[in-house]
Amino acid sequence: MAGKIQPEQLMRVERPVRYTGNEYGQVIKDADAVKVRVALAFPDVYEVGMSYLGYKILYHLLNKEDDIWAERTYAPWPDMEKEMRQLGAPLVALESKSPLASFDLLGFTLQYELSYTNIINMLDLGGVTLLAKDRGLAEPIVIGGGPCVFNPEPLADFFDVFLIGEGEDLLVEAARVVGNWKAAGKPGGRHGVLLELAKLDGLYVPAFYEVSYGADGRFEAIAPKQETARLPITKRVVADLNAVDYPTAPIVPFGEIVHDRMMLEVFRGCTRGCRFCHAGVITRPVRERKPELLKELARKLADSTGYNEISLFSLSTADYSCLAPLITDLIDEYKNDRISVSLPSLRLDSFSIDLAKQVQAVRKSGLTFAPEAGTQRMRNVINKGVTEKNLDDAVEAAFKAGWSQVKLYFMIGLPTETDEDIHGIADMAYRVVDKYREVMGRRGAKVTVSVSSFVPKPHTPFQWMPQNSMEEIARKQAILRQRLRSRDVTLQYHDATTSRLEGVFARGDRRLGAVLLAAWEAGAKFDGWSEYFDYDRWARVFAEQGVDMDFYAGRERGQAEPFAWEHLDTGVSRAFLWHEYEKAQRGELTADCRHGDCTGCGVCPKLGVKVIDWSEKHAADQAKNVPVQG
Amino acid sequence: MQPIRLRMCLSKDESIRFVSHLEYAKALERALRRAKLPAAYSEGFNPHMKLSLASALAVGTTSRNEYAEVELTEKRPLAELAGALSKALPPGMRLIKALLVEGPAPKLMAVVAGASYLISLPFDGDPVVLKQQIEAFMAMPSFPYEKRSPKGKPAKQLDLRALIRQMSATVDEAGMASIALSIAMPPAGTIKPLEALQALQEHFQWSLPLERALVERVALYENQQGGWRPLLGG
Repeated sequence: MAGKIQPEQLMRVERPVRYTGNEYGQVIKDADAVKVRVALAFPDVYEVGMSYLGYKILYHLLNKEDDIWAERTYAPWPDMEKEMRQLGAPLVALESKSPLASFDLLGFTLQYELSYTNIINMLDLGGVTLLAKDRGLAEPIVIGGGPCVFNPEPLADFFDVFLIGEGEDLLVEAARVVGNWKAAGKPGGRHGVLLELAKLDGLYVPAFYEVSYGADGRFEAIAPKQETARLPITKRVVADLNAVDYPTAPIVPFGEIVHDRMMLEVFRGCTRGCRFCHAGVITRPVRERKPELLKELARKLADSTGYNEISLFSLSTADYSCLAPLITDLIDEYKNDRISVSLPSLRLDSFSIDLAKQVQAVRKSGLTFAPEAGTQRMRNVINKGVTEKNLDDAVEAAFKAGWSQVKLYFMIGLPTETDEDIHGIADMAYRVVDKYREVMGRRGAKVTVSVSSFVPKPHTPFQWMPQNSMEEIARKQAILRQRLRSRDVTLQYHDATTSRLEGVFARGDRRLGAVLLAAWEAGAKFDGWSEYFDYDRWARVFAEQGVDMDFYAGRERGQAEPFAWEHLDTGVSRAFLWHEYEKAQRGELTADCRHGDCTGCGVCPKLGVKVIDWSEKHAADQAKNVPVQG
Repeated sequence: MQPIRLRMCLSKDESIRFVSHLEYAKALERALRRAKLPAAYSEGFNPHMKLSLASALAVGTTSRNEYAEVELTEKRPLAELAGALSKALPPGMRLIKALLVEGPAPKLMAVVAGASYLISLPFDGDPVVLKQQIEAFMAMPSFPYEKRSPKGKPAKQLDLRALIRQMSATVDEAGMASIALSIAMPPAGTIKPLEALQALQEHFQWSLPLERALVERVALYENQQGGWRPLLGG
């Protein structure tokens, strides 16, 4: 008989409130009265998973349906896992405390490659058969979504189905299909429901496809095994965010979570076109919410949560077309309620400093900017359209406004990078230090330089390029260590090994499933946490499995080489990505299509959607003398 | 204007047993905000709600009676305040009692004199012996106890017997013991209920499975004419 976690075990673990649920706003339904039960699983700890906006949205939309009950589950921290395994207590969902194996639909979000072993671990702890092909009729249909789903191939063995793109409509549709199949007595078995699911636009059933590899080991082709299996599978996208329901009464946890505040998604997508950016491709096009709607949502959020901070959330909030008036209005409206407004990131310009002066949450800490690269040439290569003058203006304005702490984000290992570009990072840091002395007449700036190692991602212009070797990254880090020996500058960087592993799985294929399973069997989990990441164990497992990491991460890929992820269509064409890759080599910029000309990426015509920008719409309407809506 | 305070007695139920003291206070603050009570805030850049709890409660401990008070900026009918707050509380926190205090009065945390607890745990010994030993302890003139302090600070010398005002035990047919314990909370230092049981366990060589003990705070008291009276008049 399965054991059950008791107070005795909870007393022994760190932060037991991670496992007990019962938060304000959780949804409880009668398990026997609903048609389909869904568990939304996040393969990391509660504090991380509870901060994820995507699940707040899906939890709300699924539970809005009377006959669907969606619950939550998170990866237990290793101390809790030990207690669970000792007792034989399965991983359960927080609301009903039902084991994961008893759900109809079990969803995982694929947020980062280093959480993949946690997915396997959670399946195991939940009593779910690991390999999709071996699962029994009573077991849940395991579905994956999220950003990494645009190359889910390393996980294909473990999932029944993947949801490509935005899940607002699609996950509810999928739950309905599973519910109807269950109500009808599960006709055709698991194969039967997968056939039905594969009919929905945006759902991908990996078992319905055969992958072939060439003699040299390269991916060659993916072909449907079923007549009905489509190719490619095009992502689902919500055409107008103003028309979808937003979670205005999210769960308010007891324990502090990573983003412990109201999250107001102001827009989705980003068309700045940074060539390294995966999110910028898969979330196209830009779709803004109307300022009036945002203010209405903010009011409902404030009333229902009791939070005292509201975060304007998006990939690049400073780019919201109506940001300045929106911030002013929100600050005015909530001053008496002691609700502050915060921005998750700032653009590198003085406009952003003007905004930062207004919002409270940024004041508490220092300012964070992302120049991404140290020289103009390198920034042109990655299409990050900021200049040294932008930096000068921004930090000058910041210092004049009273800030002294500045954090700068950079990447190393970018294409065409030379040592000059690495030195450029150090030069920029000192430029900020000098600027402070120039503006304030004394020293006292605290500059933090945070350097990550670039990982080439699928569906981006850099999907063809080799990732820097770990030795090369270590050499470049050593240059920075050497150059940034100053009491005004702090250098932060990560070990190159985690980026390497991320790089392997980001552009991996189905053959990596066996490696993942073997790594999990060898004890890998929480790979995103330095205290649990063990590169030597991974290296050993890759060697034992006879799989070469360099083959996936370190190899320059040819212009015509087929990729293991191209059956999943973001709407952005391969031709456009290659064109961008070539422009990158020449250091040519591509303008943001939001304000300038269409860059021809292909998303809008392919998906039948368009950029929604409210200030541009306002201007266009005025030009046509049309009354402005809403 | 005289300061107005809303004093509250709330539960911490089984479903939120593992919520910490700070988390409990934060949950109450958010509930007060949802209820749109006219709470007062500190001045300055990071305004804080003028909310305080009478006594900290450990992770894993439930309570029938927790006490808190919040300063208000205006007077409103008590029934209206209590009704709004009740609706806004998370599950596991129930408003048991509320009252308004006008004018100067000491903070609740300053008047707390002691607390009583009920500890339940499995027991397979002889209940008669247990009761006799508890009586023997209560008859002692003193029971020196060294309380280890966070690193760096010297240990505190406490008299466990003087701190424990009352102690009794019952054992039911299912083998579950209920130990009632009243502990004084003088400024010089006090002891947690399970620490007290651990000390007695060592002295009497009991074999109580303390790791399985469930602790419930029954009441908080203030001094009144030489005796204890529950906070907010019980």
